[in-house]
Amino acid sequence: MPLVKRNIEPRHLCRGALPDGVTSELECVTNSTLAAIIKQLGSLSKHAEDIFGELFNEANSFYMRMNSLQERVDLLVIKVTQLDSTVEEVSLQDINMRKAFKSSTVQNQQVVSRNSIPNPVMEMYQRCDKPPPLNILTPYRDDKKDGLKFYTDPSYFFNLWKEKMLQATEDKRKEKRRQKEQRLVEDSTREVKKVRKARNRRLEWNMMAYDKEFRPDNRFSPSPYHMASSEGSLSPDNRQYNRLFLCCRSYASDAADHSYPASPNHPAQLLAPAAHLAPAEHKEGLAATNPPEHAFRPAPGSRQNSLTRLQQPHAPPPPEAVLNGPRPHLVKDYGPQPVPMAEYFVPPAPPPPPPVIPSAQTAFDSPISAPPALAPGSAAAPEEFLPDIQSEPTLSVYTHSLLSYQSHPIIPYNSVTTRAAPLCLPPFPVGIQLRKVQEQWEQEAKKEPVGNDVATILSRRIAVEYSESDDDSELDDNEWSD
Amino acid sequence: MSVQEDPVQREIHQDWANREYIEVITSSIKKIADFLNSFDMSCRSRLATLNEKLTALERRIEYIEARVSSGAVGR
Repeated sequence: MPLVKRNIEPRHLCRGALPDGVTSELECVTNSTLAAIIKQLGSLSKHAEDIFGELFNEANSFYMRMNSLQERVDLLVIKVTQLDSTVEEVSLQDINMRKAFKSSTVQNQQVVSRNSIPNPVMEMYQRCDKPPPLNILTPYRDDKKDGLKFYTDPSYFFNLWKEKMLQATEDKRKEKRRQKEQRLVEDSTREVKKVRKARNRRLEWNMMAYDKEFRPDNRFSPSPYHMASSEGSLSPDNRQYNRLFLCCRSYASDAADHSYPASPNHPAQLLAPAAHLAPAEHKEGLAATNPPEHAFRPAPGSRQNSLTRLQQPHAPPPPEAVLNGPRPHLVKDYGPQPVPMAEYFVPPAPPPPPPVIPSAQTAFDSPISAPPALAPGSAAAPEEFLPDIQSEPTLSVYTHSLLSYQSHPIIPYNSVTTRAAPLCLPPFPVGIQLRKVQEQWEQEAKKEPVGNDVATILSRRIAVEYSESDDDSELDDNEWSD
Repeated sequence: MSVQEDPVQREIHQDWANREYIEVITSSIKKIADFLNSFDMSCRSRLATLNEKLTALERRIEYIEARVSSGAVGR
């Protein structure tokens, strides 16, 4: 419904109530009507003055602009007449180096806002009912928000739009950065690949340091493919793998902890089942952990080239079965104190992960005392496993696993505190740290000089969309005035 | 009866006369209001045209100033 800008106030002339005790009613009505007419004339004159005032203000502004234009024209006339083609300093470089002309286009913003409201509409607004005075409750709020904003917020939609636009600009910037990085990567593919291979080798050493079953390789291999392949190959041996991966899980989680300190999620995922598994020695309860553990399976299979001892894809399950006996025993100790294990294998401790394998061979004699003691027990326990167990590979595998287990606390970048701490704690301090940084980033993002008007925000967004070079230069040029 | 009706009739006639007078006045008030509205609208349209011309002039002058000042070498 359109609002009438100016209302002449006594709208109905003859509808006033007649006073009592009047003899000539008709004359009374006439007189009251005439009085109302006079009031109408009064409001009419007020409106007329308002109308002429607005027109006068506008015309006045044009007059001022016209005057300034006239002065500029006069100056230009003088300048042009003074131009002398003979006194030139023509140089082609200057012509090209000069900044291109850019006219100052001013965009009208906030045209229909509280500042530009005409007077009669303002008076009408003030005559309206006010909203409930919820602002009284503002000092008692904890989140320091305006109390009235929950009832009626005129700037709500603008703030919503602004947040969306800023978010969109940030997303586009990130996309552009990613594209740039991809282009750089594509351009310099060889170098990047070399670096990656080097890293992978180091990690491969780490992987080889473990037994196949203790490698946390699910990160490198896409799990769905390997799960599909592994399920086909492992279906007859599911029960074995259930038990084997019980132990494998704990060590794998430990390995994940050390090999991948940067990823809190992965160890968290592994630590959770490990925490489950460590206290519970039930081998049958491993069915739930089957699928992720199957992911471990093909990774050792994929790294068979590096490992000389374990060559059969089915060889790992038997050694895992063999080790199932001692594993729960070790699993118990894993949780609270990994240090005893480290002390047990002090001699090969100092070398870093890559030389673990040669050191494993040299230190083969020292832990032999432990494996022989455990091997008979382990051999006795898993009777229902595959009969093609080879004792040597099992022992070697066991030493590998033990050495790898023991080598973990040695790795310098691994924080021993994470191992000493309860299994569930590591993710949380990292998460808290991350949140603080995020808060800082958010604050920094808010502190960016974003003009609180539509034109600057839109100009930034468009600059991000269409810019292929730095955005900052374009943003600096867009200086919108309100 | 006519004597009794006379004052009433006179009163009614007077009332009608008064109403006609009031009607003339109110119609003229409406005419004034119409005139004011149309005057306001026409003035605004003319001022808007003026504004456009002024803006175009200002941009031209800006350009000429840029050409003249930076092109002191002249062309």
